Amino acid sequence: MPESLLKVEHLTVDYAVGAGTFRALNDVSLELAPGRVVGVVGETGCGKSTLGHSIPRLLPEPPAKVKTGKIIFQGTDLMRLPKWRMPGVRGTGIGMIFQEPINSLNPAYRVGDQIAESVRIRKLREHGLTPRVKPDVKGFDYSKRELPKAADVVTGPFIPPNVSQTLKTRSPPMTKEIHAEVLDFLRLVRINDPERITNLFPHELSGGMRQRIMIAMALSGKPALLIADEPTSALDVTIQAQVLTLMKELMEEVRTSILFISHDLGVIAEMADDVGVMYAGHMVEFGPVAEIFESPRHPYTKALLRSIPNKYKDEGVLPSLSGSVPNLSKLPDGCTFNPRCPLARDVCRKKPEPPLATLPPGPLGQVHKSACFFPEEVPTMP
Amino acid sequence: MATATVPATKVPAAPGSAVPARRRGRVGANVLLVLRILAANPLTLAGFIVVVIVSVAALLIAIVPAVSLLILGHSVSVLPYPALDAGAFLPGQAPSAAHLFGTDASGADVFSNVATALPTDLGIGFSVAGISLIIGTLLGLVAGFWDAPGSLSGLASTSIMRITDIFLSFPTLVLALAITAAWGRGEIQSELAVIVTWWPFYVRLTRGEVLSIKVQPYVIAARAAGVSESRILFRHVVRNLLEPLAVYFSLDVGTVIVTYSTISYVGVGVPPSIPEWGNLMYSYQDSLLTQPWTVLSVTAAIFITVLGFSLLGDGLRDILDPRSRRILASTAVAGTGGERP
Amino acid sequence: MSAAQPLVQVDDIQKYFPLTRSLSETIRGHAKLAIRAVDGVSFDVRPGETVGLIGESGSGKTTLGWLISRLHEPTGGRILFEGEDVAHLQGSKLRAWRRNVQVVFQDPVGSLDPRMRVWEIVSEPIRAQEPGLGKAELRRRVAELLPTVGLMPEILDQYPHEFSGGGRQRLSLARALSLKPKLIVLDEPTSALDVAVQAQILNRLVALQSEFHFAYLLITHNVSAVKYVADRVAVLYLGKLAEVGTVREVLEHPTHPYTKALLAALPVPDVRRRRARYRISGEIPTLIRPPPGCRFATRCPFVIDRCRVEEPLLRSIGKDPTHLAACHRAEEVVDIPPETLMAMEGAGATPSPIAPGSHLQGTTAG
Repeated sequence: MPESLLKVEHLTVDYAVGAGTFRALNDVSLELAPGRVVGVVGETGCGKSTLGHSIPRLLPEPPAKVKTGKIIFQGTDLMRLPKWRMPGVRGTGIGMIFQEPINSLNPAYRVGDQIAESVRIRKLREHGLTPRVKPDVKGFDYSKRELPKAADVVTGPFIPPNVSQTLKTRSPPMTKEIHAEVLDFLRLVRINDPERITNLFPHELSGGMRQRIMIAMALSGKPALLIADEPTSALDVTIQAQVLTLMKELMEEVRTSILFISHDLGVIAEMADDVGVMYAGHMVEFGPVAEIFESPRHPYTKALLRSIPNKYKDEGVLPSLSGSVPNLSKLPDGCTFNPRCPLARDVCRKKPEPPLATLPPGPLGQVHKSACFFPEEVPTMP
Repeated sequence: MATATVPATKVPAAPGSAVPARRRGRVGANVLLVLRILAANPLTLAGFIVVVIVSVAALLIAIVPAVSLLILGHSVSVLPYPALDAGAFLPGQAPSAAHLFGTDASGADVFSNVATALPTDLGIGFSVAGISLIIGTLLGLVAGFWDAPGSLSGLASTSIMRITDIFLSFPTLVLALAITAAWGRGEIQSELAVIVTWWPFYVRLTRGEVLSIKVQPYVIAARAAGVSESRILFRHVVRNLLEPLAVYFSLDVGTVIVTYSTISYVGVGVPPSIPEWGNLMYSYQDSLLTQPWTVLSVTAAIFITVLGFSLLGDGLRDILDPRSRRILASTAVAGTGGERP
Repeated sequence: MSAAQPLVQVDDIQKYFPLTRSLSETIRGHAKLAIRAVDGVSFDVRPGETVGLIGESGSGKTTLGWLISRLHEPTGGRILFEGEDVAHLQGSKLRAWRRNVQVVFQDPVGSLDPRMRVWEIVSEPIRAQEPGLGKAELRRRVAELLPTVGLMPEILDQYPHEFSGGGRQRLSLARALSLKPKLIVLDEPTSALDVAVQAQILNRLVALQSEFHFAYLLITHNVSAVKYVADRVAVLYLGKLAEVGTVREVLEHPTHPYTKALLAALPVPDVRRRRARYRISGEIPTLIRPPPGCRFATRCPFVIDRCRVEEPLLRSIGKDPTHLAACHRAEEVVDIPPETLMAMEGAGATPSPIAPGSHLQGTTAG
């Protein structure tokens, strides 16, 4: 097992609404190895976006509040970093792609300038001119580097030692050089005439093009981890297929790790290596994509997969999951899924809720975890 | 899990018996809800309390003398001393138990002066904002709802907006000076001067809201259901307008009071014989250094009243909107109301 | 599906949205431009059947739905409802006609007035068509109606925000059902819903139809929903029909290259079908100056010169006479399965995922 790039441990996040609170994430753990794509799938309100935003600590606090948990990125616990050091992690360490590209691009700047900004930030950090959490981190090559201790990072000097020298001889990185890189990244996302595109404003582009720009922008920071939050949900089917194809090709070329968040089981099946299934703030199942889709070991996963319509109406009713997602401020006792679960029995209705436990290894020996008391009964679930 | 959905016919729907009665005591429940929201928002509660106290006090101060004159044959005041009663006391006394805010240079009780001005100022605030609200909302509704370009109504809509722009560009103070010069100094004249420049804001606000409400999917859904345009206007548009208007109105009462005090202070408001905060401020300005409590009392009265309306206005949104009501009042986030699979 | 009189027959219908010209453009004599959202579409809906209308954004599918429910007035063409042309009905006649056709909208949040209670929302069409009914009577009718969409009558006095997305969509459905219409236009009814809730709603739609026998026009980009609910399918691209046929014919033997592309692009929750490279390139061109000839020619992997000049007409392809497609090369491409459109670097005209210059058509042509 290679060393993990990102490790989320027992993350619990509460939201304060009015006089009450609800738990958006409940003891969620996740591990992401370098070069892997982990998909997170779940219904609206299951906490998958909260998870995605909590890793680069982009959650609005308040109303959100991280109660417990560690987010260990490249050996550093981001929860222990002071907030003002987080920008040094974002962009060059953790890049993000959001769902709505029209809202994520600034309408007042040309596309080229926005990508140039992120290239410039990375260059400044690479030259040690602006602080980053770890001065020597190179985004794309993380294979054989010794990870510094968390304490070093937190107590390390704010200004790198060579900065006073570089400041004297400081010439801002060549504009031409940056421009050339911007064009390179636009070509990387298969934009054929990048010179023209750099001079356009976001509103002059179509949705698919904007999402390409967003991807180029995220990649231009050369992040070690890319968090894609529903990157294709706002796009049409044929455009979505193009963007997904592009992302898949880029994965091979760039070898960055991706946390891919989506509600669409089809998209996850196509993109992810490992899949985490979330339900009402809990991670209920985690495993390799083939196992999750072909032999799920949590009743919710199985029910979710079954409810995708895949027949004609003269072939009978669709199997559907009864009831609806529980109110996060009034979760049922015991297993969160028990009111809707056909396997539920007395033990499921009592606290404590089932932990996300590793299952006995299958024939391929991959790690597969399920938060169910009776995972062995799921394959024969009615 | 893989259960068949219950066919619609199997659901028992005994006519008559299935109709739940209207929730009883809805008024009581709503009052309770409002109180819980207020309890959860201390600033709104503070604003609410200030507005209630100020309004009740203003009513008592204005009504008790008149009513008592009618019933008892002589006037009884809720205030300790008459207002603007020069020479009644030793001038320039600092605040004491006998004179809460002290006495002014003329020897009148400052508390009585400030309190007597309360109904006048509050009345001006409500009437100017209220008349502007009525004029502005009506015009704004017309201009927003029937704005199809190229039609006769569209022409009317455009005309209303251009006229509004013209009035919007009048400077309130200069207009008040002009009206005073023409018709003399008086309460009606000065109020008119404020209203003339005040109503266009309501037209702008109403029109903007109407333009956004009328393209909401629920308005289109109503149209698809065959609901007539006039019914859509009242049932959907006006109903959704009430909340932003109420919020704006509450904030506006405070703004009018400040603006009107300024006009009075400059000398084109109510005649000097009537106690009014701007007038009092003018007459006290010379004793700012020698008797600071005089100016401070008037300032505090204006400040607290305006602040009360502002705080209430900010919180009013939460009280009026059914969406935020429940969330704010209870710990439970809105759930799935009575759904069957 | 007999030869019974169709419930709705749409005949060469058009809807153009004119663009406003600037003063200088008017003076310089620029031609008046219009967005051709729907540009000559003909099809019919028979009583009690479901027609699925598939298309991506910009295909004109929502405009077409709004035309049939007469929320828009068509620029040209006819809409025959039970033989009567309703394309230009106005005023009270239009309002009275509306009891025949009801609409369920996509947005489960926006389509319910946040300030109305459940009984007011659901009874709105009844009040519009039958004025003078008392409050008690309206409440009684709504309470009877709610169980048919799977809601309990106890919710009469609740507000829409107290419901989940699925619950709100049930309310929309109850509102549409309240007048027992002959046709319900479903405009993306499950697009905003999660997959588990979607299955509940789709089951409910099918059950309701078998009980009340109204026709559905299901407008969506969601092919799997159409597969389950529809009897016949019409595929719309850039305001024109690309293909029409029974649901099995169209989904299993797609003829038009666009239909093939659409089916190939669907993400399937099947890890054994993780496909490599998708080859239909470019974006949907603008509707202001649509390309002459076939509208799919700019993206079609099978394009020939004829496609760029001559517009293909809907015609019957293959054995099934009700299966129509608008493609010059239909006979040649009919046997090519959709899967080949995602093969690795096949013998296509466009090796790169984006055809040169094609990706900007949406912006520069206007």
